[in-house]
Amino acid sequence: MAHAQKTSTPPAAASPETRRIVTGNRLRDGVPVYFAGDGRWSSVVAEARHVAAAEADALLAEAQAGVPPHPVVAPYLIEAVLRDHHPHPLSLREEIRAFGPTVQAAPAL
Amino acid sequence: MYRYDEFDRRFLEERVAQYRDQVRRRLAGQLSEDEFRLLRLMNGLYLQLHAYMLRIAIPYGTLSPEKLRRLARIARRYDRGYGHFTTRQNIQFNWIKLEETPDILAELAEIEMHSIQTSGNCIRNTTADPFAGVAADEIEDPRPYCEIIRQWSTLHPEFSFLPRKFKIAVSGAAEDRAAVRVHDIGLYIRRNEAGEVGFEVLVGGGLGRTPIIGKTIRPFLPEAQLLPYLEAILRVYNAFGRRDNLYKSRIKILVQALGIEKMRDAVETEFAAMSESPLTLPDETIAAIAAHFAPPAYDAPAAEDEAVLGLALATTPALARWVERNTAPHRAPGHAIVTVSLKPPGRPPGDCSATQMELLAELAETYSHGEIRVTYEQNLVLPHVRRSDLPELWRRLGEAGLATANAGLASDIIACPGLDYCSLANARSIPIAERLSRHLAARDHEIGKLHIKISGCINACGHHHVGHIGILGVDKNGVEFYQITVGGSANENAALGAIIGPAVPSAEVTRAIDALIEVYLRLRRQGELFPETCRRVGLAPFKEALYAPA
Repeated sequence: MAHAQKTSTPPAAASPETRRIVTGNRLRDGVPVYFAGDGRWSSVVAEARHVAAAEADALLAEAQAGVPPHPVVAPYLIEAVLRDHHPHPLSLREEIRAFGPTVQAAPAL
Repeated sequence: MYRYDEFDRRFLEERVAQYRDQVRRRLAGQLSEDEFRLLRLMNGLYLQLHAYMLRIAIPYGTLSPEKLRRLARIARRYDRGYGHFTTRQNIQFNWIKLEETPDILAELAEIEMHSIQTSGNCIRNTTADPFAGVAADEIEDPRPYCEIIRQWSTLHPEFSFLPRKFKIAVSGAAEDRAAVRVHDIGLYIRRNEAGEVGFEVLVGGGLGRTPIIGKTIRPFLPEAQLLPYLEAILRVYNAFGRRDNLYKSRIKILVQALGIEKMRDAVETEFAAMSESPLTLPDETIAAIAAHFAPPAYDAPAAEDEAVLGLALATTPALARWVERNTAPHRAPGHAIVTVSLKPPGRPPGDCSATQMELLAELAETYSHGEIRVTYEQNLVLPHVRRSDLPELWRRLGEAGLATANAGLASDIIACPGLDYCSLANARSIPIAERLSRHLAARDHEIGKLHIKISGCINACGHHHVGHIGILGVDKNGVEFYQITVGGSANENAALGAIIGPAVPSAEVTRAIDALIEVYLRLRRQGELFPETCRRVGLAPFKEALYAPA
């Protein structure tokens, strides 16, 4: 199973401690990636740069900056919570994007 | 099978070259995503949760071994070694890289396949009865008409920017195996009193947010008038279909707003103005297309065939169950239509590995006159199998996990990709299907025919509205819940299921379906299918069982 994180528990509700991170799909292959700051994008969500809600727009603007071709399709903000000091997506959809699919991705034979 | 001519081949080569240049410019930053998105969608390329997804059309659901082997090669070389057969006779690859898509389209073009018009507001791949040309209950083979529609609708300049996508289905048999009544246009092949072939034309069917069963707009249309009449419907839709509201843009909403009588008047007026249409089909054109679909030269059954098969069935109960469930009567004596289930218990419906595809290509060559069909129920079909070959075919399929004896049974579940792959989904479908099929498989034969269909969002790619039991995933404050409908049907007696009550949490779905099945088993009369029992007894006993305190 490709999925590394159980998603059967209800997601945590947003709270003042909820962080914001920027994600999108990598242009050349569609892989979900996360803005890690300094122009760098990572396929590991734990490496995403995370900010408070008040700083989210600035983070998104920084992630969107640069001359074409931008390496990521349509970056957008998502909510995250910190687990062991690392961001973890709040919504089920984003959790599955980061760690899924939750089913075995190929027939056994 | 229809073969491309020189024009078709050259066109596809040019289209691939054009697309290759578009991808190059996108990767170089010369095209923005807004500019490129429409171009990639016109070539069936979506951007999903984990990767790009390429949807490839399988016209009239028919594949040759050469085509299936090429799909296997694409699965292995460009994807993760498998493909996913959809609910509309397409195949999807879920792990595609944009930079490799021009090469994939070039590989497809070599075997006369493409992904044009598998997305966008255009006329999509026409759905056909997967038993076309071989079913014992068939009036006329629908595939030549599907091919005629394919040629007419491909890159039709007037209909490349419709208010919304447009889907057509054709059935030529007594039993509807193409979900004709829930398509934008549905065509049933009929014969009139003079024995002439024509169509009952339905319009305005569809699922999604507003499910509607199509209504008959023409009880009998002579076959020569097929294209002018389709063109008349499309023109009325193109002119009056709504473009201001995505959720009201399908033709079903136009038909609902006008009423079928006014819709008929508008179409007939348009049709009358086209009486000298160059689209009128001469007999020789229909015959020339039909010649591509001539039946293979079947071997006459040998006198001992049935005795040999009978002995095998008597001594091998698992084979007997598979033959009972997964074969259908064939029009040629001594032959059977074989459904190859892509629904082993506990596995994603419709997934097929490259290895399985290659085996099926070989088995089609050996046992099925080199032909494979794809069903909208996410299974495959070997349409021309000699009955005496059934034991050996079953054994070979079994070695590859392809001999599940559940065609049409409870564990033969339709499910969309859901939130595990799809960017539109609200909830997961596949894990629910896996859980249910694993749970129900042992009782399949006790329960009998039962169609469970699961969608991960209201777009209804899993056809939940027309499931005997339908399951719709919904998002309740970030948590997956599942709304259950009962009594739907997708066949010639199509009906929409009724919502039975509040949605249930994911962990409760199996218990809920069990409760519904128990009521059905308790109350059904001899030979009565689930929707018939629902109609007879009403919702109350099902509701009571489902929501009874544990």
